[in-house]
Amino acid sequence: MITVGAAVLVLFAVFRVFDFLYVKEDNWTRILWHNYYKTENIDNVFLGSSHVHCDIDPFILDEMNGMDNFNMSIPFMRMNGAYYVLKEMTADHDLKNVYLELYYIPSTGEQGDVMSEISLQWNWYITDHMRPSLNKLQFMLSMSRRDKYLDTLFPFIRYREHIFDTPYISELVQLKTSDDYRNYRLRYENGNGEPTLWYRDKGYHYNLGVMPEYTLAYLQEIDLQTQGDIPSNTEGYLRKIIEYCKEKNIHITLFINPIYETQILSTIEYDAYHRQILAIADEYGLPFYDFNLCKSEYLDIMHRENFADAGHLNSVGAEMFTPFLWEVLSGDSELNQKYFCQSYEEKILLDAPETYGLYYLYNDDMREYTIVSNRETEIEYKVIAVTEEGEERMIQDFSVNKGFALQKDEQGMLTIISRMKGQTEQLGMLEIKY
Amino acid sequence: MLFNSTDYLIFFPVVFLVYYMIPKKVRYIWLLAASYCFYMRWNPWYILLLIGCTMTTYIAARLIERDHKVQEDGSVHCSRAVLIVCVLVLLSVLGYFKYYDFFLAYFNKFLAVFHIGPVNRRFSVLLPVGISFYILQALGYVFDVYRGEVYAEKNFLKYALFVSFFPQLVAGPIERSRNLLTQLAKPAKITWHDFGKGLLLILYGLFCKMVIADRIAIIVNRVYDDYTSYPGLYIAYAAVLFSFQIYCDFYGYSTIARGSSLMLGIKLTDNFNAPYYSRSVKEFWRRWHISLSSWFRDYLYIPLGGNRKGELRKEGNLLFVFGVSGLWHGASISFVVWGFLNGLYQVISDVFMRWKSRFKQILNERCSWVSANEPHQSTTFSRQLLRTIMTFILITITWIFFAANQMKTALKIIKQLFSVFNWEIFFDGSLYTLGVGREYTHVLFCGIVILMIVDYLKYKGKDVAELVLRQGEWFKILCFVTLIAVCMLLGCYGEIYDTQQFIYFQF
Repeated sequence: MITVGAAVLVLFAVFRVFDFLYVKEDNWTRILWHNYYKTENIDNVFLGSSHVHCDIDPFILDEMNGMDNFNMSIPFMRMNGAYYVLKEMTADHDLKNVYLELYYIPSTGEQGDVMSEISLQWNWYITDHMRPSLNKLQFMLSMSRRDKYLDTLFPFIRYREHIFDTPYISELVQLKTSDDYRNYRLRYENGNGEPTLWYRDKGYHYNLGVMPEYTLAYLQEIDLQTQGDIPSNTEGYLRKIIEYCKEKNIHITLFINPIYETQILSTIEYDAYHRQILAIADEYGLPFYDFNLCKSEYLDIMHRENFADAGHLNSVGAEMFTPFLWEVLSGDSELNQKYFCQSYEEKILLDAPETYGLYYLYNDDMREYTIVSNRETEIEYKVIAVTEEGEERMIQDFSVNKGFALQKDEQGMLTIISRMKGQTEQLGMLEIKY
Repeated sequence: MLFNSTDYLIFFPVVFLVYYMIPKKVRYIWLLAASYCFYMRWNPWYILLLIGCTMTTYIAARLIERDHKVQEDGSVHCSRAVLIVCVLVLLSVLGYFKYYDFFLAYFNKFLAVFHIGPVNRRFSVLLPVGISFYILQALGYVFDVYRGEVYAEKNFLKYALFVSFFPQLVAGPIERSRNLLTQLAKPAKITWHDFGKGLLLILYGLFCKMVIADRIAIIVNRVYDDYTSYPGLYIAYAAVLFSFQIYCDFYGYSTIARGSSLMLGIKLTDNFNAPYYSRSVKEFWRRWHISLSSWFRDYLYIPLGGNRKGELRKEGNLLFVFGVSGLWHGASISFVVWGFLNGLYQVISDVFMRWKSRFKQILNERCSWVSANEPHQSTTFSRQLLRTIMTFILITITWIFFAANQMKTALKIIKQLFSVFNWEIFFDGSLYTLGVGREYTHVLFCGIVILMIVDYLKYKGKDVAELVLRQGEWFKILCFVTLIAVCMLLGCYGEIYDTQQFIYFQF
């Protein structure tokens, strides 16, 4: 019996060595879990994808509500991940409020299928850093098919292709023996040694980066895959989360963080997704706030300077968004309705005409672009391309046409000049890399 | 359910734990239920076939035994008729599922000679897994009862478990009733030693299958599937590797079966005994797939007259039995040729040995200067090594027919083998381009070396598992942990590999 016990211990020690040598971790998730297990008290949890840790500043919330707030946010967290993470948290803390963020990409279409291959990859990031518990085991066994159990239970198995890849191993060993890694530090600096991005405790990702104008071209591929529908297993887990909170007497609120217009407008029908969530929220009598539908007069955030990229606010945006978020979350849900439009379509028409950027798709050798603006036919666009070699050519003169195509391997700068139809005054000009 | 699948990794511990938690009296019922579940994972409907065969042989054995008792009173003799009917029923089932299409194709060719149109009633149903194995096992039992060597089992459920015992159900070893049935009736008490040995056997079996056989499969499939692009020594390389692939595949399966069974307190026959150390094809067949060879010996070769009716009849019997053995393996001429070739080797060897001994006799009689006390050359190391290598080469040639599945393909592969002498492929890295890179090829050859060391110890009569278990605790731990870690890290499984079914599952 002692021999069996010793053999099991030695075996797990060997597995730990393999994990150290081969497993490439998601540094953010690792640091987040480490910080979470060190946190003594959490009253309010903001649960969701990376949008939560970028967009919500828990320190502002602490000041505003006098409670302990924590962003439990993991990139592309699927609904089953959110359910088991929540269970983990309720075992450790006496939670008062759960604010569940519902970013549309991990909740819809193929991406949103919690049993899909891509969901499994993201869920592995969660289980790799969770402490051993029955809840973790349940999560592991429920999140994958039987043929993936070994990959789920023993992370190094997923990286077996690197067994003899010495550059990979040495790079990983170097990373894992670095001071930052061992001390759970996440910090990026600019050329002058000034910090631009770092982990600020409580699950907050402080980011000073600004989405450059020339990156306003957004690859649409994932958004098309989502197609607006919430898969039944994701909906099932959403319902489980709601019912679990009710059972534990925890207040739950559903919400969606603001994302930049180029991304929302590239979806097939964002409103369809909004309506599905709203129906579920109504069924359970829960408040649901979609900040993408928020009127600009109350939250004027849709400016490039507030975003780090098309999906995430930077810290300037977060400092603007968090107080308003709390005002809404702590307010009366009936009265809160004045802040929001009924649909996204209605919201963009309320805003002044504006051109936000581009989204594109690859089609054989071509890149097919669509100009993103908040008007269907009322704005005209002139598009000029300047190749890297300096050759300038006009793609189209002022026209309401939003679509054009360029060679996939061609690179340069696109200038989009917009004006209202039939007018000569320029509405805006964007310079976007392609 | 494959032994190297996650399903089995869940299935077996559950069976094991429940088995030791329930009362001894009902354990065989639990094992029967588990065995049926195991079988139904492939195709639930084929369980009816298994139950049908079980019932047929159960009733036949009971009738034969009753007839034996009646005969003692001097009454009617009908056991032979029962036996014949039982054999015909079971062989018809086997023939229908396994050989219908094969014989129909040849029947149509025969009709074509007389300008008669073909019979278009092809039977495209998946071959029930393990049918060839459990039918032979059940038939062996009926023969034993007929010969009065064992009593017919009265408890139908125990008998059903004998036919369907999951570790050996789909690819053997083909057990004799006097070994398995008696153990199933009263399984031995499990000890830590048996538990450890069982686990060690399972791990070693997985090592053979996942680290060696399935990695070789990548190379062999690449070469044989596109043999026109890989002429000369590529074929030789693949042929040699296939010898190890089929061995590690089948031996791996049998070892896992033995280990699983041992953990349930039941000892299965060891199906292999270091076959590639054999010094003749005859010896090879005493060491390879032992349960099948002994089945054919006891129930076919000996009843045909064996070696009791003269040399010519003996050689004829040998060729016939090996031809049938080939056909048993697969419904294709290439399998028959494979079996026949193995028989032919032995016939040639017998004839040669007879001539040799006659020549020696003559030499002794006529040439007084030939000393009778001269040391016997066949015992020298070099001569033994040469014979072992020659046997390996001869067996490897036969495996080409086995691997090819089609006679035409086998002949084309052999033709390709002699098309060019491209010896440089062994030095210019070409062998690493066959789907298995340099490092993994080295892993493969290390695996083969370990296999051959273990086999050598076995050849010398040592039980390696027992040897390991006799060592100190830390050595044992090291062996277990190393085997698990090697299988997990270097085994071919998961989505980065195309996991291979066990080759013998198709038979």
